[in-house]
Amino acid sequence: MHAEAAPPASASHALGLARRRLITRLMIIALSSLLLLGAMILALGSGAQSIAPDEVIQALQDRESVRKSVALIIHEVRLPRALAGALVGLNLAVAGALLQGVVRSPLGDPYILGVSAGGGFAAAATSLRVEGFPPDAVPVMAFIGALIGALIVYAIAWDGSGVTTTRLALAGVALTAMMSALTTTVVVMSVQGGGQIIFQWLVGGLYTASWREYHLIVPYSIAGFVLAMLLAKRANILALGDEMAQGLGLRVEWTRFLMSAVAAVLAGSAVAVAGLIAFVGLLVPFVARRLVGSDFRFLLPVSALLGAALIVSADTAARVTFPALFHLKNIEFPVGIITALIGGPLFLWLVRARRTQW
Amino acid sequence: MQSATSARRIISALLALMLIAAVGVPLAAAQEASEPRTIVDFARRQITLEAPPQRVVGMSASISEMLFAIGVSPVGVTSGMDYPPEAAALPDIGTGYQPNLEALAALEPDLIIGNAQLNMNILDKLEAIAPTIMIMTMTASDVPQNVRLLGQATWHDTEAEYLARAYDGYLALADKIGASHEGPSIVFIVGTLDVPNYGKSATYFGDMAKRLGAVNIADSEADAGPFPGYAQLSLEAIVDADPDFVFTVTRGSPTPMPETMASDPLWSSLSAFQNARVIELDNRLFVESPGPRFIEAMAQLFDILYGEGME
Repeated sequence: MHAEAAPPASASHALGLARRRLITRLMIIALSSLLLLGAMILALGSGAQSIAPDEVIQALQDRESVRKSVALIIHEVRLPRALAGALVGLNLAVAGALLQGVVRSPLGDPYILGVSAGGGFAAAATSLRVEGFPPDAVPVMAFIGALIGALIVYAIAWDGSGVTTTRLALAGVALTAMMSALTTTVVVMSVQGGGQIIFQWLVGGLYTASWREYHLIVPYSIAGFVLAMLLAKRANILALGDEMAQGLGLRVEWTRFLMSAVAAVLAGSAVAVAGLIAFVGLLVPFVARRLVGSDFRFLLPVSALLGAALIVSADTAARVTFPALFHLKNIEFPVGIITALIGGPLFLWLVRARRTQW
Repeated sequence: MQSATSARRIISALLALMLIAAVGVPLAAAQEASEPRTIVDFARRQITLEAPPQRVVGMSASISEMLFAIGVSPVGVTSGMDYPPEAAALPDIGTGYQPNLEALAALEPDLIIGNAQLNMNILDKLEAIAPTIMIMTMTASDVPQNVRLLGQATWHDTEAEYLARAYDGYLALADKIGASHEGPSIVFIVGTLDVPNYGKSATYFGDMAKRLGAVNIADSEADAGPFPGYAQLSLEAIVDADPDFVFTVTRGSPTPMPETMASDPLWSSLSAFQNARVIELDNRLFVESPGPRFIEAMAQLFDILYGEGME
């Protein structure tokens, strides 16, 4: 009796566990969405000019019902910037999650791997040095530069069976330094605008992000995220290890290439709009992995939402909190400073703890 | 009864006609004054303005000074603007390099005059706030031209035309003075002694000095460094040329360059230094704010270059 009853009982137990796990994961997705919503509300509600929360809501509901200045600030300054920030965060975080799957290391961040720097150089070189280069094609160049950057670092760090954290970090640092030097060279050669553009490219900021630039990122965000989700199952198999994945019929190297290419699309367009923003792709998937585990079908959407929330709130801090700390009026900091300050310590800890496994 | 009513009708009709004439004629004139205008700016963009702008913002001290000169009071100015004095009391929109867009939007401008050198990367954001005209003022000879453009854009054509003609005449006179003087040799440094930029005759100051007959020792060098019109010189070349005057505008250090030079054996050995001809100039007047005050700047510069000889 007992022996007969046991198997169905444990099966239903396992089923219950799986269901509970699914519910937990869906809850986390819902909570991440709420977090993003909260970050957006905070971003729309704070800035150099103080606007009461009810007036912000009124401006969003009906542009004509509020003072002209309030409408301009909410619709033309804060909203475009918050949306651009959310997309840049989504792109970088999803690119990070994918690259971590490719290199099987928590250091798979577009910034560390030289992907962003490669994209940044390609974007700067074409937009500043090629006369009459169509601005719409800049993200495409950034994508190509990012992909080349990824492949170079990957090739250097790969020792035949995998990549070691140290090799990866070193190759990425070297490539980033070289690419940043080339980017600075290009910017200095194109003197017009001087220091500010260098800042925008190398520290990463959303100051110039606007409605007009949306077509430079929206299609890439959508396409990149959809493609990433389509690759999620294969990424899960790849995570089992090359031998196992091959045994299960996965074309391992091809999958790696596809994942890198999608990451380059995402990181490239983010760089084209906001320059080099550090460590988002490191920080966000690291947290997301601890929340929902390593299943890419959940890891990717949670990374996307948390990445968006991170950049939107970090940009609010860079616009409002930081200047207030230093008693600066009408001055703002680039968002890349905030993400570097948060992500830097995590990076150091990961390297020190030699965490080659995630 | 009947005739009284018709008489009243006629009077009413006459009154109505008079009323239409009284209101309508000035209205027609006003309509003519506010006929839409199309302005072509520095970036060769066409901007159509429907009516005379009432709330204008200039995105640099240079632009705001030109606006004040033609009788347009901007509703906000960039940080640190102190000339004319009433500018200091106006709302601050941040620096010319990175204006605060919220502060700008809060002013509800109906015309923005942007600086083509610094603001092209945020042109679409400015346009979202108000119609934007981009201008570029590099040297004194750009001033009359830009004053005319601003006059056109603000319906202050007459003031602008008078001023522009005066500026043109002054520049022509300055050129004649320069041509008739044996000019001293000069070097012009912006920054610090550690990170110097040597301004050539293509810069705002360099152009004014050249017009007054000065010979700039950096002119034979190619542009170098982050700013157009500036070159890099070796210390050896400066010692070799031993210029009559050294003009400095110190930026990025609290100690003015002439003071730093005093403790430097090489700089203090220059004859300009020993003859007390190392002169720190006002940043706004001579570098940062090319505009109507070029007249004041050139008068000061003339005194410095030729003052002694005229005693």
